[in-house]
Amino acid sequence: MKTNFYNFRALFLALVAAVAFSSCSKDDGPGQLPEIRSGFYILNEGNLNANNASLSFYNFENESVVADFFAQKNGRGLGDTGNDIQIYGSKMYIVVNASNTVEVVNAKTVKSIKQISFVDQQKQIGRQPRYIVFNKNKAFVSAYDGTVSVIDTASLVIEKTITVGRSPEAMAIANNKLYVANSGGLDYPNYDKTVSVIDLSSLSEIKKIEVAVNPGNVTAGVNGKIYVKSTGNYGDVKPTLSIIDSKTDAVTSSKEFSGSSMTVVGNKAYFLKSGGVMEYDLLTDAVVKENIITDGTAIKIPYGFSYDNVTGEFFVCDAVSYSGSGIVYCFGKDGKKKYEVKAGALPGAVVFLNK
Amino acid sequence: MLRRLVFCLAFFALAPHVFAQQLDSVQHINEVKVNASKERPSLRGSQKADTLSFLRTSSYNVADAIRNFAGVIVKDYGGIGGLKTVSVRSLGASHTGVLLDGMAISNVQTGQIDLGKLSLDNVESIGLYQAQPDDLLSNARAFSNASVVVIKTKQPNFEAGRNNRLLLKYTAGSFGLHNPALQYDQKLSKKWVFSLNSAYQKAKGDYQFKVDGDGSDTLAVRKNSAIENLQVDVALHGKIGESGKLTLRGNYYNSERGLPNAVIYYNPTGRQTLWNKDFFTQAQYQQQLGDAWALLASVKYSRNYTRYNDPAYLNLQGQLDNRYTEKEYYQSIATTYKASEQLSFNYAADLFLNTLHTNLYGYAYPTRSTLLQVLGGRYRINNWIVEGNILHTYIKEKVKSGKASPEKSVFSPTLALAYQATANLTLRTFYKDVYRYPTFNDLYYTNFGNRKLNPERAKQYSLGYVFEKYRDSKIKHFMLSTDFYYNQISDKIVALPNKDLFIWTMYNLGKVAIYGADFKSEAGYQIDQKSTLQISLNYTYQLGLDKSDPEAAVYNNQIPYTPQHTVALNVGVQQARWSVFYNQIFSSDRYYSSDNSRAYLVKGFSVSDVSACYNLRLYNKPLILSAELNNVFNQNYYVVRSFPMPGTSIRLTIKTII
Repeated sequence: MKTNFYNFRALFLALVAAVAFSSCSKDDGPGQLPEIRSGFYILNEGNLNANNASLSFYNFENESVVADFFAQKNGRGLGDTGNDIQIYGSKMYIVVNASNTVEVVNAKTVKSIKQISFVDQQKQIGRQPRYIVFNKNKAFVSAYDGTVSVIDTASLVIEKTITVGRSPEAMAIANNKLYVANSGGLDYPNYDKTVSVIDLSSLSEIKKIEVAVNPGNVTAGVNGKIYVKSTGNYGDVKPTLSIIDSKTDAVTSSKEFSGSSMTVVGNKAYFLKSGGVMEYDLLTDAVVKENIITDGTAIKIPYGFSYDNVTGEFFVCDAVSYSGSGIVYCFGKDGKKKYEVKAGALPGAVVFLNK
Repeated sequence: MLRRLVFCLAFFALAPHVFAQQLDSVQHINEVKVNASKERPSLRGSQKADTLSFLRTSSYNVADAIRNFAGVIVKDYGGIGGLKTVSVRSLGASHTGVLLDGMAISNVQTGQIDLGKLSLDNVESIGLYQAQPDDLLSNARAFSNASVVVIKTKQPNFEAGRNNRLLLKYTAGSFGLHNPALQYDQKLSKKWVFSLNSAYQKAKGDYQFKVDGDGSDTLAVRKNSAIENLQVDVALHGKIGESGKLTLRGNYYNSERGLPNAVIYYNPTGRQTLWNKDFFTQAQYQQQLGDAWALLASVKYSRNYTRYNDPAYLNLQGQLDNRYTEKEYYQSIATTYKASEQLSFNYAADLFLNTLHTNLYGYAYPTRSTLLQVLGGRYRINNWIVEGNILHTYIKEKVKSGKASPEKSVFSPTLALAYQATANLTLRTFYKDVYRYPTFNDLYYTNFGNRKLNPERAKQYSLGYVFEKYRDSKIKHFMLSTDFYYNQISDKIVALPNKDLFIWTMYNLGKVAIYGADFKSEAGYQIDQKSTLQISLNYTYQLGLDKSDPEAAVYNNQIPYTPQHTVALNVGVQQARWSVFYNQIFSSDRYYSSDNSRAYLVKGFSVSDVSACYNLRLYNKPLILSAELNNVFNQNYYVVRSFPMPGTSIRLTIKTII
């Protein structure tokens, strides 16, 4: 599955950034205002070979959704396999895997600012970008050619390409270090089983940490802990959750764990599972709720999850039939459905837009 | 009946047609005789194309040749090397059987036969039969599909006093196409004839197309779509005793083609290559035993090797290289017994073994043994014909790792009924219950296959009429037929993510209901002594509804790639020396998903072809020149989303017999 479940973290970073900025000007009234959402974007991954990755925009004011928002604003489609979406500063970044692009747009207007190509013209190979994270005005894009590219968020130029492990997927930041899950997925059955650690000052890989086979998700939790979810080999090696202490870079815990994707919110982690979303307590290492959905809303094919820290709402993406349009459900803290939004094909990620 | 035969022969005699027919004259007239002498039209509806109609419809391969047929949807990925599969009456390509000279072409790996791969160089005629072929003396496999494409290769024939015959053909065309072919027949003795047929094909396939939706306003060029292949077919035809006929055949096909990827926005890379090395050898023996019994025995061995390479794959090796070898060992015995003028019985038993070897990690290496038996009969009384049979399928599989799919034993019946209301009008109906067995990919594809799959089941109900008239007047021939049908697919094999959401698995979850109508019309009009106007118009209506899950939003939506309306028009003038034909296919909008919203629409298309043919004699040898202009109006269209079709293209052919 080529979905992304890391929206919260970017949001969290954005929030941290916002707080950092506002703290400089404590006396300024507007800086103290809480964030106000104007809506959210849904990145619809789209079907393979169909060039129907798309962006939907849900506007809180008139409670309506606009499909194909990117195409509408730019007169061209996103392309094939929209894999990740993040807002950083005033810009939004959309990673389109099969089209080998990172689309940089104005977060509010969605007007294209730049399309960064990941096609290696010389080798005639698509490098296949996967995920994007940010740190200090740099964007980090993992790509299946075994690299993380560093993009300056002002010039939007790839400044450096750092070699990591095989088929890298998600990334997380803690203690001035970038952790990259090297899945080795394209080398099936000979998976990778490492997490690359990149020093964010020198922008180079400083070590590889061995975890369970086929790591795909990596998320920064509380207390500088890095949670790594490995998919296993679909056979004898089961899915595993490993914890890395980012101070020592030692694996402090590793245990068999079922549940797809992972979103960390405070002390809780959320995993997609058949029919809904499981809540897991990271401090007690125990399942809190088998399903956070309490009103019986059935998710046919859970495909993405986002938590809005401003409103405390959960957004669950449902791919529905896998072939047609999906649905994004909004649940309140009580796990009851508030509303649902019609999405495009394979909705995989929700990011929130502030006013 | 005799009257019709006379008309037919008269038609060919009247029109100084024979000259034009020089190339394929003998067997063509033979065929007309056979057709005309048939007592009644097909019980289930059949459609035919032959060497003449191939040109009229500007056809280059078997898929092209049958795209005009009613009830047919060709899924075409574009270009000469592009996959072309045929779904009949919306049941899906894997329900369509393909018989080459009575023997099935099989693909147990994917269940789909690429009809674009089958060139017309060696083909005399192609028939499409609903349910089963008309000939009761067929092997059991011929009865085991929802519909069957029957391809007959060119049979040797000689001019009076000659012992050999050499046909030479050269086709050249747009996008770097070169296609020389030859057929050589040699009489070895009074009873034995040797034939050699060989064709070579090379094309660049670099056609221009327009990409919609990526913001570009210039035309793109299809890359990595070159193809090169060679086919050699040798056959030995013999007569044994009074009525025994033996055919031995060996066939080799070798191809290398670029696999143009789907057109992906902003990413023009893709250098995948596909190699095929296919070989088969077969023997067929047919013998009449007295007046009542007839016997057909067949054996076949085939080996299909496929190699797929993607040099841009981002793994350690820097490439993906998959190899598949599929083998089949096949034998069959079929017999018919004519109890009386009215009543005949047929029985056939086929036993075959399929294996698949791959270099995929953790592959199961399955071996499938299949025993098919069919027992049936035909009864004619007054104006009625009843035909029915029951097919028994027994499948047992072995694997090298893990558990094999459980053995299967299934009976499936077919019943057809026809009533000749008048000399020209026949009413017909049939019911067929048929199973599509899971392919090796469905069952054993590492991590994805589901060994517990049940066969996919299709039930067909069809009702129609055919009105056909041959007259000795201006309108020489007139045919009109309409068939309405209702098909039901249950246990349809579909891929869905499994419980863990990581992996896709195959499930028997689909249900489809198909309501359709095939309308066919054909007329021949004698313009003057020399020329006839020929016209055919076919129309297909398909409502293929997704009935899988009543709760789902897509419930009752039209299934993917199924246009509701398809029209095929062919019209032209045939003269002694020349002919000109116009072909038009119109296909309405369709969806590439079961979600029938605009976002998933693939626009319909209307594509026109023109062909012309001129015959002359040079040094007392026939010489045929033909030209085909395809997609005359340079339509930019897609049959399959992201796989563009070529614009206007031309083919020129020169053909002679020495």
